[in-house]
Amino acid sequence: MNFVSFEFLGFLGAVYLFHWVLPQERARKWLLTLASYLFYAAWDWRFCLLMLFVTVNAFVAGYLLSSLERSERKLILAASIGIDLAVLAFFKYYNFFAINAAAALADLGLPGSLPALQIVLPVGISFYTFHAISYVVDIYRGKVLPETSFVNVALYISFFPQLIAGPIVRATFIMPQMQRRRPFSRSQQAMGIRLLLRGFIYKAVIADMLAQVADPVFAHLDQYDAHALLTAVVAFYGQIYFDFAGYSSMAIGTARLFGYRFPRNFDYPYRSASVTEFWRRWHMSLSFWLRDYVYIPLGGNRGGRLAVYRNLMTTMLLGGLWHGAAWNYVIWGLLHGFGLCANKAWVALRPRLPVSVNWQSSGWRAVAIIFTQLWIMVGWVFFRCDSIAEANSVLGSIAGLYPHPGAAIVPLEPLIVLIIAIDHTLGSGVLRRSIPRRWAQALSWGGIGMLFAFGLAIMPLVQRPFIYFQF
Amino acid sequence: MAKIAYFLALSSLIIAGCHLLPRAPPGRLMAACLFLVIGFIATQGLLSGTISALGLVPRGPLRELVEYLTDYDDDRPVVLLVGSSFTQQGVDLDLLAETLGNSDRSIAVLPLAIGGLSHLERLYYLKEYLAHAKRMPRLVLFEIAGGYDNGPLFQLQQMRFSDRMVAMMDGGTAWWAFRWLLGEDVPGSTTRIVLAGEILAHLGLHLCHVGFLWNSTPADHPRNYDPRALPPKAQHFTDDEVASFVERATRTRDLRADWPQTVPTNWMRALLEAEMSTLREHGIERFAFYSVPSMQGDNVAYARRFCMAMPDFTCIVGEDPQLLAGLQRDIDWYDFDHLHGEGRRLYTRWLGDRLLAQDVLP
Repeated sequence: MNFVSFEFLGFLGAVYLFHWVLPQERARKWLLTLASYLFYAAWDWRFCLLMLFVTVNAFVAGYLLSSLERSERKLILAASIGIDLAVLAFFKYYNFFAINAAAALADLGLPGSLPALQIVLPVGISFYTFHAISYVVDIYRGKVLPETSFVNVALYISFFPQLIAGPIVRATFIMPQMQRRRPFSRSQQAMGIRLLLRGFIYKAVIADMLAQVADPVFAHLDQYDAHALLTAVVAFYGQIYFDFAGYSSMAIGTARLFGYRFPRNFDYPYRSASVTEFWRRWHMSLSFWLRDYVYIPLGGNRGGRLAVYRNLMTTMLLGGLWHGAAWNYVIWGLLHGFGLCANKAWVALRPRLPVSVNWQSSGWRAVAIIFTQLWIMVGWVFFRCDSIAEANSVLGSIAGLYPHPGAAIVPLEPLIVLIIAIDHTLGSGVLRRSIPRRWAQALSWGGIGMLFAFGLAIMPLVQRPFIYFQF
Repeated sequence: MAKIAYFLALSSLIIAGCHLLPRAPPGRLMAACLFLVIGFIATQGLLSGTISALGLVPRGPLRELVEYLTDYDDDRPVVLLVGSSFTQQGVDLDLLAETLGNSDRSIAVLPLAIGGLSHLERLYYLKEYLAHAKRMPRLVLFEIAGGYDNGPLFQLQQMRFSDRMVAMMDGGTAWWAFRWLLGEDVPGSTTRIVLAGEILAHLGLHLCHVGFLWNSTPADHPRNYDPRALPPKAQHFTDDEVASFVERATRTRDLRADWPQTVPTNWMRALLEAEMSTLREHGIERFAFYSVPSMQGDNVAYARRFCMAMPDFTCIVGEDPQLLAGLQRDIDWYDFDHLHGEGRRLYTRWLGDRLLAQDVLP
């Protein structure tokens, strides 16, 4: 069920009404849990059982962690995480592993292969397994108490706004909200509607419009000239941001309508002046998850410089693989890992340079933003293309390494960059002025209605699924 | 692509607006919703005005077809064919005009007929045509097609949320759709609820101009629509197969199991009356019905029953043995329901002769 669909509108409306009509908090949570399973079943009801299995695993592990000795706790933690990772590995990575293992064995001249299986990738599996892991690890670390109520864990793992594509909400963040009463708050509702509408404009109007530029070119790369490839790359650079930030805004807004707060997932990432800063602004719930549950357990910033680089590269490699079982995602992750290492090295080197430069000046920051964003854009080429060879061909053609004759398209790069720039500069609220309270509400909400109506008129009628739904 | 450039520029303004709007003070949710609705409706009004002022119309073959029809401005009396792909592929317009004409009288034949033209859509575009036609038709011939008569929302489901379906779903179309939905011919309340939701959704998209600017064009855009352009023949049967299909079709007496036994249905009769009433308001008084030959027996059986139920009108069923004897080869058919090549010409001449014999021409 796509967020931008009448089905979702009807579903959301019905769940919303029933939710706030119910007087008891516990009944509301049960309703939201059942609605979330219904939401998931709309895609494929069989995988509801898988999600339930992951939930039971987390709930039982949480219960056991609270009642066992230290040595046994470690075992329970490992078993629970192992089960979650096994589920993820089987559904998402089995065929990738089987194909590559067979190829590696063949290269070594050894016989043997694993059978390729027809496995359907359950939607959102990467997200709900991470929620389950987060719950168990946070209990183990003593950051959150184990839940005695199954519905709280079930709702945390399956809550439909974040079920399919995040944000990855931490147990420490959401569990306290589940344990207290959530009264109907008008300001929460207003914020929820605002976030929903903003997400809608990001996704349905802008991202899907940019998809009209990028998709035809990426579908037939050999038919377009090098400049068209560049336009498509820039269009995808914008599309993926507006698509995912739009989805996140709608997810956060939807949760607000039910009285839950989700953490922010995007903070204008394309104004980052380093890859490190980028990951503090892009898909923040994933990057912080990777930091706390992968990077730090690997050693984090402890140890020598090489150990830190190894940890960064490993974390980003896994982050790449998390997005999809394909080598182009691995390269994408490694590019970001390299960017993080380079930034760490540069920050360490800067004070020792013999020249005295104000690296914080706006001029240097602008230069850093441009280089960082070019790096990010190169990464998106690997992310978007179906193979590494295809990505290399696109980048080589754009760089002019070899001729790439084909059809031309209108060069839209300046306009796309302008939209991103407007979003990223005005988004900080620098130009927002305070106006008298009695006018503010009329102007704010009337303006949203106006922009929504304009957005509807210029959006493409045929909507694309959210990009992150495939992960 | 140039259009995308304009829309991207507009999008940048929308984004700027999003970020520049003041943050509303908390509380007073009802007031906020009221302002939201007022802003939305006011903008919809503004958009409607702008669309009218700029003369924008939805893009697509149906719009081009209507423009082709309304552009006709000649002294020859017009015979209008109202139908679907059966007519589009089954009737040679020039040959029918030639057959109907003589040394004293020259006739023009125009088709309001295109693939998948449901009754709801045809009513919408018939009104559009009548509102802008330079020359009104003197005779209107309605195609008989059991599938369209008994499943007016089939195309809506097939082309769900397409520009074409959204474009036709104004208040009038929705009213007729709901009237069918509330009749006795819809199976099951679940189907009714689902279809009602889809009608309302399409109506909402139409009224709120959703995607309109994306799929619109100035009314005075260059026109190159050619109703004579047909798809190349795709499906092939052996001549023996065709002969057996045609023979079997003539023997069929039963309707399809999922069609109502009342022919035409009350809804269909009411729709036809509404169409004829609209046409009469524009001074058109002569109507007739015809069916195009089909290799599907239930279509033929339906047309037969339809004509029996319409004794006050000239009604021609394409099942004359002499005609069918000439439609026994694969090259005469595009597929089971559509004529092709010489078969098309044969039927057109036959239809013209029947119309002349029945003296329906003004």
